[in-house]
Amino acid sequence: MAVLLRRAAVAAVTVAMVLAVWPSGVQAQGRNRVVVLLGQEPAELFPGFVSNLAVETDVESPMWCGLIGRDNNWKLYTDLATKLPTLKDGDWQLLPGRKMKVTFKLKTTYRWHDGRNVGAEDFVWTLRMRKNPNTPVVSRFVDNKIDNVLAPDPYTISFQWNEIYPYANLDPFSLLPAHVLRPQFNRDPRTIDKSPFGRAPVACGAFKFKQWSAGNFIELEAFDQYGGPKAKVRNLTFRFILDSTVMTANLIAGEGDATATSNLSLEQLAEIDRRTGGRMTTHAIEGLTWEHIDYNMDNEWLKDRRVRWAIAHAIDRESMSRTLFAGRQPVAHTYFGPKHFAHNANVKKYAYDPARARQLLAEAGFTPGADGILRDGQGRPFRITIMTTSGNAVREQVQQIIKDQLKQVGIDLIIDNRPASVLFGQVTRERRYPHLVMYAWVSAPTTHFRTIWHSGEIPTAANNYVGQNTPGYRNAEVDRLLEQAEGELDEGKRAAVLKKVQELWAEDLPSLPLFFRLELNVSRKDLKNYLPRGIGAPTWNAEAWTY
Amino acid sequence: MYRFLARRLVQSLVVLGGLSVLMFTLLVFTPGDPVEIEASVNPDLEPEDIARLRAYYGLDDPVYVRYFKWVRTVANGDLGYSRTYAQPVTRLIKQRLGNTLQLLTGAFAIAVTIGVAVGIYSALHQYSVTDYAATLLSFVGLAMPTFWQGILFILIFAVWIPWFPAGGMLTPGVGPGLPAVIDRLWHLVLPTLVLGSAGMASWVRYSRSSMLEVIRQDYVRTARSKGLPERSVTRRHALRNALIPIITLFALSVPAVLDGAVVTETIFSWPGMGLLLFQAVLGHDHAVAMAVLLFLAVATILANLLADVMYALVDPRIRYE
Repeated sequence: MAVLLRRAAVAAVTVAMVLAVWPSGVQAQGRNRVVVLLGQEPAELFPGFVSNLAVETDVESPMWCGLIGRDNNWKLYTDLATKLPTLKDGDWQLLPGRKMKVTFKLKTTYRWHDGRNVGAEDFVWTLRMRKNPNTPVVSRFVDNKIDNVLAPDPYTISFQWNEIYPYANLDPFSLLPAHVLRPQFNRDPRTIDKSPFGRAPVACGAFKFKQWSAGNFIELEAFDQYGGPKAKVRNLTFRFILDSTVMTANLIAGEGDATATSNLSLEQLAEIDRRTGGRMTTHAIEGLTWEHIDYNMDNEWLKDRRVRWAIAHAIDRESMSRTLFAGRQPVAHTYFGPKHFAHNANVKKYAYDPARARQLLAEAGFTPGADGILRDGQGRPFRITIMTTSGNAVREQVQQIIKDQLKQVGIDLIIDNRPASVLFGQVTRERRYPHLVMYAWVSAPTTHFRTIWHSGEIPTAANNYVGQNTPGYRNAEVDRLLEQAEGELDEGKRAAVLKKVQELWAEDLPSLPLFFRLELNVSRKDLKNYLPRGIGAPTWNAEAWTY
Repeated sequence: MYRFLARRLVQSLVVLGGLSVLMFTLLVFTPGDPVEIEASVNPDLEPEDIARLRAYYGLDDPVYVRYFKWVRTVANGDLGYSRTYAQPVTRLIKQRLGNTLQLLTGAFAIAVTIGVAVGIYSALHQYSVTDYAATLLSFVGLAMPTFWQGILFILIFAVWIPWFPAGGMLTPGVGPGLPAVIDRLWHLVLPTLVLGSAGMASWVRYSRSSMLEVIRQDYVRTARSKGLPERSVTRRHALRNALIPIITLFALSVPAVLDGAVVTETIFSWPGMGLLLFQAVLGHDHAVAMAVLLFLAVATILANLLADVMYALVDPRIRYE
């Protein structure tokens, strides 16, 4: 035993000595490499299939090319297309029967990562593959609006739309290389998502795939034949770190140059600011994730909009913003973020005013009870339930504040939380919440919220719970305007219609807007051109990144 | 002995069958299947898309049909296809198993050698300062959750004193061959220490109490009274007998270490089976989760069987009928 112990000790000391002399230089990152930390490992890199995790878009963005891109000011720029089609120039045409034709000229300099030209044929094939009923494409929302894509010459494509769609000047889908995927598709369209392509894609962007060390990192390298502006750093590495505390430690220890989608919190960003002595820059941008509380409009108390207004006046969202988010996450008054083209800053706002709340509740027929809780006309206490995802620390803090503030006006709030899978699998989908539910919608710069506010989108047992109008909001004028916006091609006119919807909506207040969740990111101070957009994928311009 | 083994193997198969039903049911009844989750965040998903995807992933079949389909594929030696990783589960497990074994071997070695040595020493010097210190430390070790210890170690040894990497398995850009091996060892140090020290505490406690029990036995007193030197008494008579229950612990602690590996791997982003299970459960990837859970179940059952057999081998007083 003693001999064994002695040997073990000698071995341990030897290992320790080797480790001690091993230069810490193994972690030194060359100036030609950017290490991006991700909060999750992508499942696969195959746009359009199986999962579309945010982290996948982070990795795919620098690898893929597209017709049109969107920059950090949400302005459109041309990538593979030579110009943005417009009605004025005639490359976006309206045809009889509410049909459209949209034509793009392609740059001839773009290559797939195996050297083949990117051309019209790839668009024709990608659409055909996506429209095949047997391919497991996730969403055919846009594909179904397109009848066909024509290729009059190898670098020109014409999409034939079967209805008016205001975003026909953007990429309708992610482009895939026909020459790589066609054989698998021809063998069996049902198994196209099982192609090895998803783990080692051939794409057409500034960076090409190099290696994927499962569970560890994905490495991309600059693609020298890229048709657009060439990448300035040679190597882009994505490391997966699931725990945000551990990610914070990594950033402080200098083991990451930037972040993309992660679970970092504002406190952790402050910690990074404090502990890195200005070596790292932290970015907090209002994103597209709209935190809000839905009222159940079928509830007999909440049906009365004076009650909904009263609850809004009783909650001090400004002070929540200051205390919980250090003022960096401003209060939202509508559902479109400030960068959305149709954002309406002049909607009715509900400032913190408990006196006004009490007055509105009195008008609605509530009278104070002996215990300080209001009673309705039938003498029942005004006791309501709020549900949200359990384990989400921020939402739970917000709930506690709301509970306290509603008590001040005589409303007793009961907190009843569920895991995210239950909340979204049953509670919101089947509208199984008695009064209030707090969660978020993730939108896009092109979202109109039609599926969320149109009365035809209320999920019921009869329609097999289809639709996302969780509050059960009904307003005929809103329905009409939402339908009008779908067919309005002029962005200015469309914005005007959508602004009107927001006015009506804010007056009805089917949901209480809280905040636009901040997109939090960190980058090295000396990493230039790192410009997060607030719409995910801060890697959108990774080719411009440089030290 | 052989009859005993045969009986235990049959029992194990029954237990395994029951476990697989239980695990499958629990996974399937977790609300929010992958398609529903997708629908809750993606406003572009239309009812037809949802129906089509549900059919494609076989989510419309009744639970028992899905279970028997799964049993059939597993019986054919195929663990199924991972929906989220888009590759066969067998390949995923192959990639990850080695990484977990590296971590487990190191952690086990640390836990057992240091734990048993400290335990024995502390039993032989009962009520000494060392004994008190070892007892205190092992209680702290038992009480400290692995995830917290992991974060603490990262804070101390990767942030404050940057000796080791704060997670991961390989430094991007480190070439193949010897540098890669050393780089991997360097990444292994912290997770191994955390996982090892989590198990070490119980080794200290067990070996200490086992040794204390043995040195009070009559035969130890006899050995001492017949004039044997103290060294020989402790080594030949006490230690050997004290090790019997510890050998059982060796096999029985396999499940606990595997549990700890799930947490340690997640904290240190160590791409092993534990991290795979964690991600599969979060991502509702039932094929992967079932495969890893099945692996854990088999490992636990085998470890228990091994404990019984070893017990009989090292202690002639125990015979199985």
